[in-house]
Amino acid sequence: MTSDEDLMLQFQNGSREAFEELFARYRQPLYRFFRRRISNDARADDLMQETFLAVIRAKVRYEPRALVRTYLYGIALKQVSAERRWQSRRPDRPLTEQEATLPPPDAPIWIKQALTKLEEMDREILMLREYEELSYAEIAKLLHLPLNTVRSRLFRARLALKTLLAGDLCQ
Amino acid sequence: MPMNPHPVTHVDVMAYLDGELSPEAAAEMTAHLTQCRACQDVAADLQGVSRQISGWAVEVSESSNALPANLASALASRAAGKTKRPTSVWSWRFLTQHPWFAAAAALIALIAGILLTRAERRALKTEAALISQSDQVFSNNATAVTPPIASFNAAPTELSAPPKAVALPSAETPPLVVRTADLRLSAHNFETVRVDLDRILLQFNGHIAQLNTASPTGEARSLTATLRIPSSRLEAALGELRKLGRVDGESQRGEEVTQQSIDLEARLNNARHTEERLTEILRTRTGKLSDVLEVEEKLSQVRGEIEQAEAEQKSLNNRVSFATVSLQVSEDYRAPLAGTTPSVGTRLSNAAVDGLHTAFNGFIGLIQTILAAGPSVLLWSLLLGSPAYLLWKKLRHR
Repeated sequence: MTSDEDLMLQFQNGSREAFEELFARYRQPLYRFFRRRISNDARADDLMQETFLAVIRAKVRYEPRALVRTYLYGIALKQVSAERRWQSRRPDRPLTEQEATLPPPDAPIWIKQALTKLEEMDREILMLREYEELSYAEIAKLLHLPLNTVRSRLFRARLALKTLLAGDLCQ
Repeated sequence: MPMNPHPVTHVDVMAYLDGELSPEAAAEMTAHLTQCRACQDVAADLQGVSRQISGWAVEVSESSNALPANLASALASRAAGKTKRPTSVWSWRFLTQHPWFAAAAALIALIAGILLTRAERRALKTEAALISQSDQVFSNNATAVTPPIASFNAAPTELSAPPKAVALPSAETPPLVVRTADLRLSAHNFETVRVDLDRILLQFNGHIAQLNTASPTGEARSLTATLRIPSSRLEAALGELRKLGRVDGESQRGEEVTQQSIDLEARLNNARHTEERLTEILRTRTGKLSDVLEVEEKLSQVRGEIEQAEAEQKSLNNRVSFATVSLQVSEDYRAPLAGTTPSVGTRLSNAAVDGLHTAFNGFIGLIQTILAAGPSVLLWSLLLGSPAYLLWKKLRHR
């Protein structure tokens, strides 16, 4: 199977098929990524498409120094940040903190509540590891953190989540 | 007492479970986990957390792997080169790909920098020389100023046109100088000054920026005005103004604003270019509403900058085109005629009235003194007078 990086280079050279293959590979993971961070289903789909649009627009700037996966999630993280900023600036409907940072309502309630209580950076590291299955190095690169910080924060987040989930079950 | 420290950390256990350890470290961890109950518990906890959190699944429709219309259209546009963004000449990528271009640009920038520095230095020197010259020629002392003014009048073009030393190397961009002059006059015939001033302004296409006149009773009248006169006709206009009276003082200054004008022009060009680009983006690009609003906000900001720069440029051009003359004209002071002398009867009557007033005031003053000092004098007289009287009496009886 052709690697993502090769597909990206082929796309840079004008191969539409390469892009379609990349889209097929990452459409669902990216949609899930947004769906777990944005409460609106349609908006999550929009952001997924906008991520690919950004790839198309910036194809000449891609350099094969990073994995395509890291590159895509890097764009996606920026899209989420921009979306949250935009939502918070909307005068007609100010977004509550819960809506801005929390999982959508279809998540199991105990997981949602437990994730809510984590520190934002810890939650992001945990979600990138658990759901996007990124390596520690990829997370460190994406969030601009030292590798050891990612390790320690991930461990702290998991322990905190264990306590929170245990507390919810006991209630 | 813990003689053997624990060989692995719990974070290592987590890294092991996440597949983040090297093969050697992973093998050691596997062996360790078979023996260490505490680490087994940690591993079980971490796996439990992962298992629980994985309960949040997001459903995605499987049948929509085809490219959405917007992506397909963006791809088609790219392929056709419709929206292909040309690589900017100043982008890092371009410069790294064309090092000869970067080197040439750096060389040109260096030469331009040297030339500009030299021109600026020369302009500064010339300005200093001009100010020094004007300070030397025009002093505030009226007696000392007469001969230099005569020589200044004799060759007005030497100062009205910038001296050759002032000119910048480029013939296309003559130096821009903001000229100002102060003129103090004493006029014998003050009544005609105002009329003559209007005539001079009309003759030289100048105008009054500000004018104040003062006519205090019993003192010399004065006129203070700020005049704006086309710079090219300043010398001739000053010559006419000097004829309004005797010159008490005169000074001139020249401030070169060429660099300021160039900077302003560059700022304006940049802002206009940015405006064009933003307008083009608004016209051709489609995107999120937030992006459009952001571009519009930026466009509004740039237009504000353009208006401000244009206003500054207009003001600067106006200052260069029109010299400012501060004119102060004082009337030659003439002592007023003495008033009529009163008659003898009036003078005697006035003296009598003054005498009565003085006598009455003296009487009132005496009463006031007695009333004010009387009680104190009486008290001290009693205190000191009684023993003195008794002593005097005793001595007399001896």
